[in-house]
Amino acid sequence: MADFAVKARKLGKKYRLYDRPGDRLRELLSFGRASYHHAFWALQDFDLEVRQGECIGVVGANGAGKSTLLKLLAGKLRPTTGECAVNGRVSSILELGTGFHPHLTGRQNARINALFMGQRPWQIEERVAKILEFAGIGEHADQPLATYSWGMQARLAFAALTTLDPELLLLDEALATGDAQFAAKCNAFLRQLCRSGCTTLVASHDFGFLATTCDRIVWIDKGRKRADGPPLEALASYMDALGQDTTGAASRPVNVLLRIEASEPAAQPTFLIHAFEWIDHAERVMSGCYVGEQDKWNALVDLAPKLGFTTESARAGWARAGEMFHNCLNRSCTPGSTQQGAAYVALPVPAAPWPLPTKLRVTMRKIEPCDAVFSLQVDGSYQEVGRAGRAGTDGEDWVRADLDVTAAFERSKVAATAGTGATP
Amino acid sequence: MMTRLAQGLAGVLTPLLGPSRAEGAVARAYAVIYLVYYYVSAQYARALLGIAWLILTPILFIAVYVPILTHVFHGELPGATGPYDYSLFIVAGFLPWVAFSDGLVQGAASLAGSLTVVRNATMPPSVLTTIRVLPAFASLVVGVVIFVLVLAGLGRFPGVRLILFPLSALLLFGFTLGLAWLTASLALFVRDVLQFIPTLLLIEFFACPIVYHPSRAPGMLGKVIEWNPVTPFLALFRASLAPTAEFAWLDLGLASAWTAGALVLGVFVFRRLEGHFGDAV
Repeated sequence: MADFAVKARKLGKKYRLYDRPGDRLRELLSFGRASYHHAFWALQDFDLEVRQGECIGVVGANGAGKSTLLKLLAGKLRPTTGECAVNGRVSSILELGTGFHPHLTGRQNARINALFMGQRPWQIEERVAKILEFAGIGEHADQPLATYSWGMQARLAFAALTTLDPELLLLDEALATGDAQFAAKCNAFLRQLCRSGCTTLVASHDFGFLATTCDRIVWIDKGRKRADGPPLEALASYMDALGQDTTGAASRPVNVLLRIEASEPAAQPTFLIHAFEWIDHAERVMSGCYVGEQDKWNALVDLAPKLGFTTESARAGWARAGEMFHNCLNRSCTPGSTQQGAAYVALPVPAAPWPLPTKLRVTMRKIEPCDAVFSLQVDGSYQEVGRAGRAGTDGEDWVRADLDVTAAFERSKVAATAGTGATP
Repeated sequence: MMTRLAQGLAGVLTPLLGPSRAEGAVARAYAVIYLVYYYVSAQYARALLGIAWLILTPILFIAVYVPILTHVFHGELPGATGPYDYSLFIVAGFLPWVAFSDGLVQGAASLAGSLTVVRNATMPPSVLTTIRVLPAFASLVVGVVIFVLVLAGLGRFPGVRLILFPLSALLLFGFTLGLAWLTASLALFVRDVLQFIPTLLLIEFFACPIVYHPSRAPGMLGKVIEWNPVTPFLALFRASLAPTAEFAWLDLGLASAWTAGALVLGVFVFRRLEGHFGDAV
C-alpha cells in the first residue's frame, strides 16, 4: 500500500459563471464557437501531499477554495488542470443530513442516510442504533423530522457521520453542531477519529480544534496555497493576514472582557461554567469554548496573541486572560474570592470577515446561592448584558444565559468612530 | 429477514463477481427497494389513511372513469361486444400513461430536486433517478391488479393474455427510465427542461391513442399516432388487459426498439454529463 493518502499536483478548478441563465444555453448551442461565461478559478496550481494517518486542517476565508479542494479530492468535481490521486476508501461529509426527508421519522432518515452513504444492508440496523444513540434524541426518534427543532436535526445529521468507517475522511465545516454539550461531544468524536489513524482533511473556522488536533494546517487564499505547516505557525500567518483585512476590522473589538459577579455581593457564590459561545444574527454558533477540552485551551493560551486573547492584564491583579478562561471552565468560579469581587474572562471576538456576534451564550450550572450578573467591557467601561438565575444543586440543572451583546458592540463602534475606543 | 436474504444473495453472487462487487450490487438493489418504499411512504405520510391511498387511488379512479365513460360518453369502439368495453379499453391505456408521465416527471426532477444527495451521497446519481421513477410503476402494478379484479367482476377476465402485462410493464419502465436519465442529467444544466416536460406530456397525451381508438384519428393525426413512441406500449397493455384489443408482434417489436433506443440515449448522455454534475450543483 502506498504511504500517501492524497497526492495533488498543479491542481486547478475553473468554474464558468453566467450573467443570465440563457447564456449557458446560447453557449451550448454555439457548439464552442462563442463564449458567454466568465471564468472563475476557485483553485490554482495547488500541490498537496498527505501521508496515511495524517490529520490536515484547511483554513481560509469564505470562497477561498476550501470546499472546492475537498470536492475535487472526493471526486465530486473534475479538475480543470493538474491531477489528484487518492489512496483508500473515501468518505466525504461536505454537507450534513444527506437525503433527509421532513416527512419521515428520525429513525427512517437515519436509515436513508446510511443507505445513501453506501452502507451494507446487514450493517444498517446496527448503524441506525448507533446513530440514534449518538444523537441522543430519545423518544423523538420515531417522530417525523419536520417536528424536530433545528438543533435536533443537526444532532441527527452529525450522528449519521459517526457510523462511517473511512480510510480517508473529508469534512467540510461539519464540526460542532447542536448545543454546548453536543458540540463538545462532536469535537471529542472527531478528535478521537483523527487520532485513530484515519487520514482526515477538515475545513473549519474552529481554530481551537484545528490547533490541537491537526498535524498540519493548509491555508488557502483566493484559490492558492498560502501556508502549509505546523498548526500554530500556519494559523498565526492566517490570523496576521486577517488582521490586515480592513473590511470593518478597525471598528470592531479584538477581544472583550466578561465580568461575572454575584447579584448579592456578600453571598460568596459558586458558578460552574461549562461553555462560552458566540452566536450570530441567525442563531448559529460562531465559535465556542467548551469544558473537557483541557489541551485545547492550553494550546489556545499559547496562540492567544494571534487569536485576540488579552494575555497581559491592563489592571493589577488580573491573571493572564487565557488562564482565567481556563480556570472558569469546569471549575468552581467564585467571584467573591477574586480581586475586586468578580471573575473576569477574556473572550476573543470572531475576527473580520465574520460578522459581529449578536449574543454571548454562557452555559453553567450550580449557581448558588444567588444570581450571576454578567457585564461586558468593550470600550473601557462595563455594561450589564444579562443575568442567569440560580439553578438546582443536584448537578443536572443547567442554565443557559443568552447575553445580548449588540448594544455593547454598537457602543464600541461609536467610540471607535469618535477615536476614543480603548480596551485595557 | 431482508438483510439475511441480502447477505445470502451476496454470498451466491460472490463467486461470479468477487466479494466487493457482489456486496456492492446487492447493497444497491437493497437500497433501491427501501428508498422506493420510504419515498412512497413519505408521499402519504401526512395523510390519515397513509399508504392505503396507493390502493384507494386506482380504485377511485376506476370507480369514476368506468361508469362515466360507459354511461355519459358512449364512445364507439370497433369490435365492442359489451357495454363496458369502451371504458375498459380507455382505462387499460390510461393506467400505463399515468405511470409513464408520473415516472418521467419525477425522474427528470430527481437530480435537480436533490442537490445535497447529488453532492454528497456515495450512491451513484443514476440510482437516484431510478428510485424516483419506480414508485409510479409500483402504483401501476397496484392499479392493474385492481383493474383485473374489476374485469373479472364484469365477466371480462383477460385470462392467459395477462402474461403480456409484466413484459409490457418492464418495457415501459425501461423506456421511461431511459428518458428520465436523459432529461434528469440535462435538467441539471438547463432547468428549462423541467418546464418543458409537462407541456410536452400534454401534447403527447392527445397525440397518442389514450382517450380514443387509433382508428378514430383523422388524417394527419393517424400518421402521428402510428409513429408515436408511446403507441406500441399502449397497444401492448391493451392486448394484455382490454377485452377488445389484440396482440400484434409489430407492437412488441416497436416497443422493444423504442425502449432500447431510450436506454442507449439516456445512458450515453448521463455518462457523458455525470462527471460535470459537480459543476452544475
